[in-house]
Amino acid sequence: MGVKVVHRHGDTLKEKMYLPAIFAGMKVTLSHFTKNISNINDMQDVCYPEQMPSDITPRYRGVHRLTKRADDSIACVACFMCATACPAECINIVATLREDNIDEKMPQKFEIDLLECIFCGYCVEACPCDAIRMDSGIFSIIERERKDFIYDKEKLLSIKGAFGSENSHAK
Amino acid sequence: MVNISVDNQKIEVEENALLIKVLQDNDVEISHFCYHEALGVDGNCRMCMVEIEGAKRPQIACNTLCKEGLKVHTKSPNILKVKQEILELELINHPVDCPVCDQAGECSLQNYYMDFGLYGSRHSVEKTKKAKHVDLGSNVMLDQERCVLCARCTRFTQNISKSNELFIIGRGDQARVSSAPNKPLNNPYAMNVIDLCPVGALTSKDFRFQQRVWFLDSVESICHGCSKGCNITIDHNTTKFDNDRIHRYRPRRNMAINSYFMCDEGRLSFHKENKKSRHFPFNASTLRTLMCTDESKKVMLANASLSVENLSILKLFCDKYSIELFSLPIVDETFGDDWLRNSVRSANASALEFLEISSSYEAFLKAAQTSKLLININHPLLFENIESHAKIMHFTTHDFEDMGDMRNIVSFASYSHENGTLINSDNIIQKFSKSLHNIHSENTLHHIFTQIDNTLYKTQETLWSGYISKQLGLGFSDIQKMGTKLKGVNNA
Ligand code: SF4
Ligand code: SF4
Ligand code: SF4
Ligand code: SF4
Ligand code: FES
Repeated sequence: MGVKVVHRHGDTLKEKMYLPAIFAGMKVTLSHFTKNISNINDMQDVCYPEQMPSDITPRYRGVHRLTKRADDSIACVACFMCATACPAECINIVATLREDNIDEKMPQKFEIDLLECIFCGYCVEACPCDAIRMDSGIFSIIERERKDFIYDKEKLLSIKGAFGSENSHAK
Repeated sequence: MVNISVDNQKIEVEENALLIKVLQDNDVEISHFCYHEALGVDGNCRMCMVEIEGAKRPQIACNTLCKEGLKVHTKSPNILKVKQEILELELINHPVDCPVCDQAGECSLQNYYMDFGLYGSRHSVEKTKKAKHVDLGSNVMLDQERCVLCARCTRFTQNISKSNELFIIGRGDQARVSSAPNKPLNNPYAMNVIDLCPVGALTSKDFRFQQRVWFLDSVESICHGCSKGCNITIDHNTTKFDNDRIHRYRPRRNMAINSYFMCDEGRLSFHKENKKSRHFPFNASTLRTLMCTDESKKVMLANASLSVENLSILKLFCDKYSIELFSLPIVDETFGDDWLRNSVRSANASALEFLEISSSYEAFLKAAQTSKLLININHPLLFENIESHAKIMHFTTHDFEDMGDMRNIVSFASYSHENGTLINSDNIIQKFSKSLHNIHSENTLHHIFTQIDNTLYKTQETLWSGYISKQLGLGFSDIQKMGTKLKGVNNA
């Protein structure tokens, strides 16, 4: 079978030497360090959880949610791409026939074990239907029992997007 | 013999051999949809184009005969371009719904797109709509939009099953596969069209949406549905919250036995293997007291689908403790036909003669009358009530109805849990391999009986070298990959 070659970054001499990038990173760290040490009373921090961070951006990978189509039906077609891409193997899908004539296939079960998830976002990238997103803005999850950290389909569908775009953009 | 050259490699072939077959046999990748060894040449898909030196235009490999000095190029830039264009044509009205298509991962169209396609779509008008889920009958679902009109399925029903259910109707972009009204696909081999279909147009209702194929583990095995012994691949896996389960059987090519096919009943027989069964552990010393030390008359009835190894260990055990051993093959006259299906439904019935195990029903009934203990090794006859006052000890792979006193039940691993060999109705001995790993896998019959009497051959290797090879007249390592024909019992 053929292989689609995707161009990888990082093959210039400067990138291959690593050191320039490391120094660039150290420069940022050091500048913060000197700035903070010289002005210790004005350090940027938040008293979490009394004070919530206010700088969550749309790219922030929060708790997953399953999106819906414009007609309010589930967008996921149970293709297992997310489960295939997931390095933590924490997505459990059971597919079933979809009876509503909108599509052929949908998940009967869709569970993410958030204790196993490493919040890498690969599932979001893998999804061909824009059906799973991590744009909920939720960064802290508190439950009483381990099993409650397994979010099921209903729970994932009920989570709202935090940045305005609610429905799946897939065609 | 003539000499041809393929991509500048010299190959010696039979004169007039079919070029596409020569390429396949020599592991030269040649894309194709319509050609199939069992169905012959149709020449409709044009995916097998090759460049032949001296010919004006690209030729199809499936209709080219090998002549002396033929020079073939399968990967020249010109050919790759031709293939890309054919593929583009093929995909014009294709719905590209790979995410919901069960064939994804083992689809020729997908693979060829990755090999030769990789173009951007130039299509700007609406795609032609056709029926997306047609239930053709016999567990076969048709999606007309995904079809590449290779006519493999229709040729199967015309030339092989000879039941003529499928046709291609309409022309141009309206051409589609269909069955006649009120004449569903209905023959005992119908589900083979699912394997034949190179794309996801024909899918199995039984497997539909169960798994993505790349999650499956495949193991080579033998169907235990009847004594034909069709070669199969067992696709199974363990999912996150479920035990190891079989998801499908697929026929595996063996030209001496089943060619490319198998019957639907055999194909669906994995459901029985998957059936949840309780685990009845065995206690070696209780069984030893019951079967070995007691002097009274004992009779054992073994299922004739047990592997050669298991039957041998039972035979050795029974000979040692003077237990009368019988094995009655199950015969169903309505099942057999003149192709694959055989009326003898016990997969290893031919082994009984080699292992000198009695298969006389009358003798068994007579012995059972006077016996004090009946030992049942998974034989359906004794799961029903037969007339006997003897105590019955059941060894079973699956739960059965009316299990009565559960203290007299021991469960053991069924065939998908262990390695073994079977002798089919043509005296061909074949190996099958272990696929399932679960709670039952430990307790093979071999393990149980060597625990009861640990002087018996402990491993399959010693059992073969010490006993079976003498009975069959060949050693384990002599068995070929596609099975080895045994000489008859008398000249063994
Ligand atoms: S974020 Fe990563 S680990 Fe978590 S479910 Fe998605 S792919 Fe899996
Ligand atoms: S969320 Fe997306 S990738 Fe995962 S199964 Fe559903 S459609 Fe496929
Ligand atoms: S349904 Fe499959 S096998 Fe039949 S013509 Fe279409 S692509 Fe070929
Ligand atoms: S013909 Fe017999 S051996 Fe072959 S698939 Fe059917 S049941 Fe199995
Ligand atoms: S395989 Fe040769 S034309 Fe289809």
